[in-house]
Parts: sequence; C-alpha cells; structure tokens
Amino acid sequence: MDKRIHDVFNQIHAEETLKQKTASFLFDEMQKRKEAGKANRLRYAFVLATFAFIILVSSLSYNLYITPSAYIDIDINPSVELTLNRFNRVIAVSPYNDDGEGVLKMTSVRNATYTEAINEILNLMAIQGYLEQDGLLSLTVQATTTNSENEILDELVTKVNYVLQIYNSNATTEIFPVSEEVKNYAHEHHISPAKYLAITELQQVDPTASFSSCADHSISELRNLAQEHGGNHHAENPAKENNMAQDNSSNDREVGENNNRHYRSHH
Amino acid sequence: MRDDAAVNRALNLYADAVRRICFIHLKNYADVEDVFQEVFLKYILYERPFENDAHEKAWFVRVAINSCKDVLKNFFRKKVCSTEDVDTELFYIQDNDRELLDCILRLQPKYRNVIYLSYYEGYTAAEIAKIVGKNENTVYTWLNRARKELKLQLGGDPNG
Repeated sequence: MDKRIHDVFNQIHAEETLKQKTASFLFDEMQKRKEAGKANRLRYAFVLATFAFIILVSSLSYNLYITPSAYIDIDINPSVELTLNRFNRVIAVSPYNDDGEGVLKMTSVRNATYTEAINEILNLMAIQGYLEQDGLLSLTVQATTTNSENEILDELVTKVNYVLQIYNSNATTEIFPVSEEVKNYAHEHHISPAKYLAITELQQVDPTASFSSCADHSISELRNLAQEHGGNHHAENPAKENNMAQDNSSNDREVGENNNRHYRSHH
Repeated sequence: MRDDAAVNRALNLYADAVRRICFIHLKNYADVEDVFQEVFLKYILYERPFENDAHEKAWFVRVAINSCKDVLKNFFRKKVCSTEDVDTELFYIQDNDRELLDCILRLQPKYRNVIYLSYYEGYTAAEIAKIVGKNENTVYTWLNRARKELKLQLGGDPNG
C-alpha cells in the first residue's frame, strides 16, 4: 500500500495554467507594492521636508526674535537695562544694582514694546519716589542702526517728558546714544553706559577712582566729585567724541563732532 | 520582498507540493487557485532567510496546510470531498488509483496530511509533528489510525 499511496500522489501536479496565472498574479503584486513603496517614500520624504522646513523657519524666526538689536539703559540709581530685538520688543531685562532688581521684580515687560516697558518702569520708579528729588535720570541707547537709534531716542524723550510732567518731577534728564564699544565696556564692569562715562570722566581728574569703588555712586554724585576735583567737562566717548555744550534749554539737540545726536532736557 | 527570480524558482520547486496539499483538502478549483496564489504571495513577502531547502519546503507545506484550513473554516464549505466532487479534470489519475485516492480523500483532514507527508514527502514523524504543530506521539497515532482506516475502506485486513 505504501507504494500505491506514493504513486497516487505522484500523479498530482500543479497545472501549467495555474502556475502561469500565479506567476502573473505575483508579478503584478510585486509591481503594485514597489509603486506603493515609492509613493510612500515620496510621501515620507515630503512630510520630512515639510517638517524640516517648519523647524528651519521656526528656528530662524525664533533666532530673529531673540537676536538683540538695541539696548536702553536707565539709570537714576535704580539702574536697569532693556534689551530689544529688531521688532522693538523687550527680550531681556537686567538690573545693575539692588534697587534696579527691586524695580524689575515689580514689572512684567518681557515681550512688551519698549515704549510700554519704559512707561511702566518710569511710572514705577516715580511711584517709589526715585523721581521726586532733584536727581539725574540718564537714559542711553545703543542700537545696531542709526535709524532705529534715532527713532528710539525720539520716543524716549517724549515718554520721559510725559512721565516727569505727570509726577511734577524736578529730575534732570539726559538721553543720548552710546557706541557699542562704550556699552561693552560698561557691561564688563556691570554698570550702565552713562555711569561708565561718568566714572571715566572722574578718572580723568582723579586717577585713584576705580570702577568698583564708584559703582555704587549715582551719576550725579560722580559728576559732582569730578567737578570737585577740578574737572569741568564730560567724559570723551572712547569710540566717538561726544562734546556736550552747556546749554540749559529744554529738549535741545546738539550734534557732536561725529554727528552723534545728544539730547538733554531739564525740568 | 523577494525578486522575480525567487518567484520562478519557488514555483518550479514547490508548486506540485502545494498543489497536492490543496488537492487533498479543497473541494473546488477556485479555492485551489486562491490558496495557491496566497501561499506564494506569502512566500515573496516573507523576508526572513531559510536555513536550507528542506527548511524552505517545510515552510511551504505548513503554510499551504494552514491556508487550506482557513478556507475550510468557512461555514458554507463542505468538509469532505471525493474525486467526484472535485471539479478539476483529473485526467492524470489512473483509473486503478482513483479508488485509493477516493479513500484518502474520505479520511479526516489531519489523517490526510500525515498520510501525504509520510508516504509521499517522506517526512519522519518528528518532522511531521513540527510541521503540523503536534507532538510526535500524536503523529504516530494518527498515522496508525489512518492506515487502519484506509485498509478497512479498501477491504483489506486493517491489522495487516
């Protein structure tokens, strides 16, 4: 029986038509799957490319947003610095002293426009009494382009005048641009550019004055010290010459030797 | 996915074995075609390599048996077939073998499998056990019972 069973099965074969039909079916399936695979790969590549593009644009936009474009320093003895981006939005705030830190803790100016930020900070300083006395309010601007620097300076003059009027402040104000070099020197010593210039002015008549020993003095105190020691002129900007005329009219614009605009107003 | 050459090679080597398994399980030719194509489609999509030709053939046998089982699980299909039921032209089966074939087709599917795998493909009980997923003793039992039943049907002594 064993051989008979073997012989029976030996007569059963796959028909040629069945094999050909199956081969044809398989080749079609393979082709379909290859094309589907290609379509999937293209789709996948497109999705990846789109994703990469979104990441790139987001990253570029983010970088654009967080790249500093200008710095406004406010020094009345709370001393703070606002870093602006090219959209004139505040992207960072830095205190230079404890009073400055105290002021900044009570504000929320990140991502605000600089006009909103200045308004809020000056109002807060006024409320806390920093503008009541006959002090000196110094604002400096350092920007990457002259156009934006001038625009910011003009706005600051308007804003400061407005706030001082509201609070009937007797503070003297000075609003002027500084070079990137002065700003960098000031950063190295962790003081505002206006204070840096005041200290260098003092050092010209008192070489013993150091940045560390003078950092806690207000700008008006430093200027007074300079005058006491016989200095009767303001510091030279190491990067640009910045001659100040002794003119007490309000909102004067003076053009220095290197075309720097210098604003000074008295109240 | 395997290539065209692999398809042609597989068809040349294993088409007959798959066809025989389809023959002993399936009633009609449409089902045979479907299972036949399905088995070879699974082969071209199966990406793992085989250890050797014997391993590859055992894979084909196992997949063919399982595919036939899946078709037969369909409620509307008959479980038993004979040569008269099958609508393929069995012109290649000699007349004196038709009776034996008929008896084989009357066995339970599990017996048909072990008869085919043992008597035609020459697998040992251990190898059959691996293919059908049962233990060796079970395969011996099935073989024994299948032989007895065949002998009974053919009119011989089942114990001889």
